[in-house]
Amino acid sequence: MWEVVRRELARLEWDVEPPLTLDLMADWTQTVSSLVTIRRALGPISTADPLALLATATTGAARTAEVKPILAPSLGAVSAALADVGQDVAARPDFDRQRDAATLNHVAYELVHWVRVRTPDDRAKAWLLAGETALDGAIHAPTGRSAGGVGLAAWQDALAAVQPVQNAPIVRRSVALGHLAILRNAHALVDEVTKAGALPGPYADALLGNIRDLARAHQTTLSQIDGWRLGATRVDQAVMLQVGTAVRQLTGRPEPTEPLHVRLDVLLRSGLGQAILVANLTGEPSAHPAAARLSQLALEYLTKPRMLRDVDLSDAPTPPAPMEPNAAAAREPRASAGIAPVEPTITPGTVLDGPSILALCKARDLGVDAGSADPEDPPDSLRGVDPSRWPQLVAQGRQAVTDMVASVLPMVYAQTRRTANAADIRGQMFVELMGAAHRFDPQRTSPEGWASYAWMTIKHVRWRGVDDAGVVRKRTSSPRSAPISLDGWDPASRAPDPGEVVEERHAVAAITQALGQLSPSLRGPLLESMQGHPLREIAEDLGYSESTAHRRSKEARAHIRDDLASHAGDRPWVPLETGTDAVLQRAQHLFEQTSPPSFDLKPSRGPAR
Amino acid sequence: MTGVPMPAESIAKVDLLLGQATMLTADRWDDLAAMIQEAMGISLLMAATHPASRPVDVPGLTRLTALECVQNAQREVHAWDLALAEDLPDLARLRVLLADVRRELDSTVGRRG
Repeated sequence: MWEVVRRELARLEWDVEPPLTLDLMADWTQTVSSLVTIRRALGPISTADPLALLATATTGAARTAEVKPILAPSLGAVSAALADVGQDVAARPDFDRQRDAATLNHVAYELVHWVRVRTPDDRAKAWLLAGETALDGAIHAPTGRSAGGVGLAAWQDALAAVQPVQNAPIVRRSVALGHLAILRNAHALVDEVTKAGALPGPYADALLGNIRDLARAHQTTLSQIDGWRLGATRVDQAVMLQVGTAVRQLTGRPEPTEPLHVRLDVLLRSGLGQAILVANLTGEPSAHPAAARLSQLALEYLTKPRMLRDVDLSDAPTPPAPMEPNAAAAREPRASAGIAPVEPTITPGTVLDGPSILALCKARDLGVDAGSADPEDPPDSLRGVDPSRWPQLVAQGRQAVTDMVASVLPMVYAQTRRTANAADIRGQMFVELMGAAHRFDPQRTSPEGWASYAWMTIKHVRWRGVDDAGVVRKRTSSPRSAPISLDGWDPASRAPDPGEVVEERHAVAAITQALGQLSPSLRGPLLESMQGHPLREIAEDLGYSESTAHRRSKEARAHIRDDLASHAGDRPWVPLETGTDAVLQRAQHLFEQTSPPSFDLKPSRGPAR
Repeated sequence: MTGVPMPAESIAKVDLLLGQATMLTADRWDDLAAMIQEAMGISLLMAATHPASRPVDVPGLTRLTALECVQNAQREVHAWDLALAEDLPDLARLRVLLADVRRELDSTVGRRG
């Protein structure tokens, strides 16, 4: 099945006169679509899957502003061979899932490296390196799923989404704030594992020093952003929601069942929250050296992951098993593999009375204490308890949490019945319910309040929802549409298909060119109008009357519309059949999403916003 | 939806204030900074979900201390209708966080004289 792919990879390397492409990034996005199609045929794909991260990274690379088309050997034949593999996998039920997944990761790793070394732009290269690193980790130092990994995947996805509007102050601010939270979390974890002797001292010191340097750089970035100007830039609300959701996930309380070394592991694997990409987005010069050193340290960790695990696994508390409430849940894509499940001791849906819930909470708290306590200095709750019994208490604590979740399990199914993406939503709900079972404090309400608390938690998840790839997303009031084939779409985000991104780049170039051909008297009002300024302000800024500003803006639009229509044959993405207004709206929308134009717009008078 | 008007401009102010507090405590690595950042994360998401229709300003923002930022944010949040809890699921958490952060900052300032 992979023979043709192997042959095409060899051709790519050895062919002396290969067919060429004028835009390597366009070829690559198509190839990634084929890779993702195969991955989806192999099974559910999580947001933290290396292929999903590769797709996000590719979107980020393709959206990098002002990247010139790259002349290179064409990936068309490889892409076609991969598409055939995708069809084969989908058609054959007897494939070796594990072997094919491993092969796929290897092929993707080789290809993204091939593309990266041929990409001259540093920012696009950094994106591709993020995808390459994710695959590198999956191949050479595979790890299980973690809540932290899901949050960081959402973060990478958000970074890709903000790429076209990265110059907007509100975006730079949000990115810097979000990354500060990641850095603080990383700092706390490094500090803690180092104190436990679970990380080499010099390595930890280097990490901590560079984390502090980068935080200072973010502080500088933030201090230079004028809060009053934040609302003056129009940024797509969906983009800001994506950033806000990712930051919320990263700043929320950590999953209590996730051991420290696992949380630090995912942070290091992510290049500490894609430090280089963040430095590129914030644009603060002092951020780059620290980000580069952090990225280097993260890669160093990837080559020697045991430097964290060796000590941690022996000394740290035993990693608790994740919740696997029942057989149905075990089939969920979010179910963690490779760790022994804990079966509930009660039938799902059993109504627990107050004393039972109190007892479970007590067992849970004892288990948490026993899992993290120092035998030399035990907490009050464990005084008088033989440390040899502590592992048993940890197990009982886990069992208690499992039973608490099991008691409210039918709520999950009630909330997700007849819902598209039910599997992903349920997976997210299980994760949240686990957290809720750990957080629930019977003293604050009443023990019987557990069911209400769980219900609110589930409603919260439902309120936010998850997309087709399991990414938590904004609230929707209407039922989700039925899932459609993701062929050609990036499964890890709601961002446009990578191919569409390339089209958008062309579209923006066409619009920019058309704008450049306008006379300054027409261009000025139109640019201000496209930036969302009301007519009154445009008139005031440019020294016209409102009616003149309106007339000139209208005239400029007509020019742009004519120009785009005259080139419609060159740009198949322009939906001419939908009418010229739609063309202009799309053009304006695309333009607003990209970096500000280079035209020199100097108002003759009035305040600059 | 509850039918209670969403205080979008007040949310934007809280977002500005907590962003400023996060910036001012960016060189702190303790639990207090973690709480401020969690509150910032909540307000950032709220502001993204319910954007204000016009630019919002907090006069003298850059001159405020972290404690003043948190106090002002808390005042704003306390003015919101509690019925918004249905539309703002993290509202309770935000209120608790702001109270804790303020108390902690207050005591730190007090201890320092």
